[in-house]
This record gives sequence, structure tokens and C-alpha cells, in this order.
Amino acid sequence: MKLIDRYIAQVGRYLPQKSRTDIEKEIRSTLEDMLEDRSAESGKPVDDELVVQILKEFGHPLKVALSYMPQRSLIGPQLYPYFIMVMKFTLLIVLAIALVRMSIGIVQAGASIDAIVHSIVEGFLSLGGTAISSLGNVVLVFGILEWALPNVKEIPLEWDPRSLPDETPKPEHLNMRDVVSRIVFTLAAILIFNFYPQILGMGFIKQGQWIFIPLLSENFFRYMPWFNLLWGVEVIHGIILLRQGRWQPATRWFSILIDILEIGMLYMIVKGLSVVGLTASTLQSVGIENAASMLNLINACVTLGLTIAIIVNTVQLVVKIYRLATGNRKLSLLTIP
Amino acid sequence: MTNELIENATLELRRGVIVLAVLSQLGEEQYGYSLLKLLSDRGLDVDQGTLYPLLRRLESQGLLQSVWKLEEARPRRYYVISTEGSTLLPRLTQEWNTLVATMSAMLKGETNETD
Repeated sequence: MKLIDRYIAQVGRYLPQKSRTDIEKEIRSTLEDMLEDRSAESGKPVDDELVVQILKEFGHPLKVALSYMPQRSLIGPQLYPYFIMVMKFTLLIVLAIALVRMSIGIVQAGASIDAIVHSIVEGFLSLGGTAISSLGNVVLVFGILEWALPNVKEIPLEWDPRSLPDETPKPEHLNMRDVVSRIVFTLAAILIFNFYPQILGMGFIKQGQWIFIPLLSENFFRYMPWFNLLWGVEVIHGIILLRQGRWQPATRWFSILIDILEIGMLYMIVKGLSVVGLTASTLQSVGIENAASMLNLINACVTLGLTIAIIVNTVQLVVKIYRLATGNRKLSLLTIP
Repeated sequence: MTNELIENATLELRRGVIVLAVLSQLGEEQYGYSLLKLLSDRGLDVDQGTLYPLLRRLESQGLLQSVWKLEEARPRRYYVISTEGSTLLPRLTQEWNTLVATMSAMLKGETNETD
């Protein structure tokens, strides 16, 4: 294979398929023109040395290919500030969880230096893996959001500066940060609960052995199809909001429907079997006395927490419905989406 | 000041005028390399990595037209200014003249103040 053919093939590797043949043909034509011109100038026939010189002058295959392609970015300027915010927040959460786990492991390890060192090493290894996986998922989610957002061509040419948001939040004003965060964390929940349920628990070392206690029971995971449905609907709602760029009656009713689903889910959990994965024996194994009473207390706390969530969500729901029905925009809870 | 900084600033300055230069020279058909030589002969050295993608972009914007021709057993893509390009050229030229006058006055003022 001739050097020019190899060069053009290499440039073509980086080019989009749609325009590859045409650009390759044009580069070949130009290179042949250059060779002919230089050969005539120097009075020497075209040889390998001249070809090498011309190709060097034309540029590295990757540089040439890049010059034909528009600049592309996985996460554009519109979402970048939110991306950085979510990345920092995710990293902070991952770090906090890792530190808590490590502390528990160290406490459980007692006076054994080996076990303490093992806990620390284990904690750092786990932190590295979890951080990479979590941040990777954030990048993936933002990549999808970038694709879902309207592109520059869809931004209207005509616009009114008076339409710029003022400092006083208006009911139809969309808080991008809230919506993006909600989508990201909902997708994170879908990923974690469906694909990494094993991380939802506490791990520690006891008598040289790694013990893991799941925090959620099998009963909880029976609700997963419903959770997936609810979360999926929430993500779709968020993407619609981002595309529209403002609240509209339809998206508000959609939000109310999601709230009703959420309250229904919480009610089902409260009325159903315990979702707490801890048992009296696991509590005893970590040295807790009166394990049965402690378990009852934990279950009662979970039920209380869920009941409070139902009450809060119901109040918010009533406010939203009242606001939509009456068109009252001066309620103090206007900022509730 | 580093050479790289000077080169980048100069490149940035020249980049803006390449479109006008190309449109002005394509009243007659030219293939890529012949246009490159023509621009160079008239004092404007343009990097080929800049010129060829620019020609494609101007064509996709409707300012140029192109056609492949077989000459000396070699296919060559010839570019020529389109009707839209011909409409744009005088406006760009006028803009350029205004810019040159403005910048000349501005730089002269700058020189006087420095003096």
C-alpha cells in the first residue's frame, strides 16, 4: 500500500462515515496537486522523500480529520454548572458513606491492629470503586440530558429581554437546578436499587470476618416494579420540563399525578410488611442488648418517618391543587413545583 | 511575550478575513490547491487545514458551489461563488472597509496618545 493511501486511510478512520469518501477524495486530489507542484519546482521526480515531506506539511492525520469536524461536547455549557454541582455533591455523599462505613469497621475491629488496617484498606478500595462508578453514572445521566435538551438551533432568534427571569420567583419559572438534580438523583436511585442493591446496608469486620447487614428487607424489593414506574414517570416529567423551559398547567397536573402515586406508594409500604432488613439476631450479632426492643423501636421510627412523609406530601398536594384550581399565585408555598 | 502567544493572536486576527478573501477570489472557478496558491501569491498565506474545511462549510451554507471535474486523469473539486455568495460579498467588503477605517483611526489615536 502506497504511503499516500495509508495516510488517507488513517485520516478516514477519524471522519464521519457520511462525508468520509468525499473528504478522502478531496485530500487525495490536493496531495497529488502538491506533489506535482513541488516536483516541477525542484525539477526532481516524485519520490518517497518528497511524499514524506508533503504529508508532514499537510499535518498529522488526526489533526487533519479534526479540522473537518465541528467541535463536540458530551456536556454543553447549558448543563455544565449543574453537572459540576451534582459531581461535587455525589462525591461528598460517597465520601461520607465511606467514612461512616470505615468508622464502623474500625470500631468493630476493636484493639486488633490488623483488623483496623484491613478496615481502612478495605474502606479506601471500596471508596475508589464506588466513586468511579457513581461519577461515571452522573456523566452518563448528564450525557442523556444534554441529548434531551433543545439544541442551539431550537433557541428562538427573536426574544424579549423583558422575559428574562427577575429575582422574584414566578409560578411558571422553572428552577433548572432543582429539576436537573431531581432527574439525576432519581436515575441514581433507579440504578442503585435495581443494579446495586447489595450496597444498601452496613458492613463491618467482626473477629476478622467481613459482615454485611442489609438495611432493607425483601418486602421492600417487592415494591420495586412500582418504584421503577414512579421514578420512570418522574424522569419523563423532568425531561419534559427541561424541554419546555417553564411550568405549564399540563406539567403541573402531571406533577400532581406523581405526588398521588408517591403518597399511594408510601401508604402501601406503611400498611404492608416491614421494609427494614435488620433482624433481632443481626442486632445481637453486633453486640446490641435487648435486640427485640431495639428492632421494634427501629420499625416504629421508620413507620413514623413514612407517616410524616405522607402528611407532608398530602399537604403539598392540596396546596398545588388549590393553586391550580383557583389560579391563586400568592400562596406562600408557590415555590413547591 | 511568548512567540506562541503572538502567533495565536495573529492567527485569530487573520481568521476573520479568510472568508472575505476566499469569496473575493472565487469569481472564477478554482480547485483547492490552486486557490491556496492564488491566496499565497496575493500575500495571504492560509493553512490548508483551515482552507479546505472552510470551503466545505461555505458550500454547505450556500455561499459557494462545487463540482468535481476530471483533468489530467485526476479528479479535482472546483469551487465558485454562488448567487448568495455574490450577494454577500459586497456587504462584507463594505463592512471590511468600514472596519479598516475605524481601526486605522483607532490605532492612529493610540499611537498619538503613546507619543
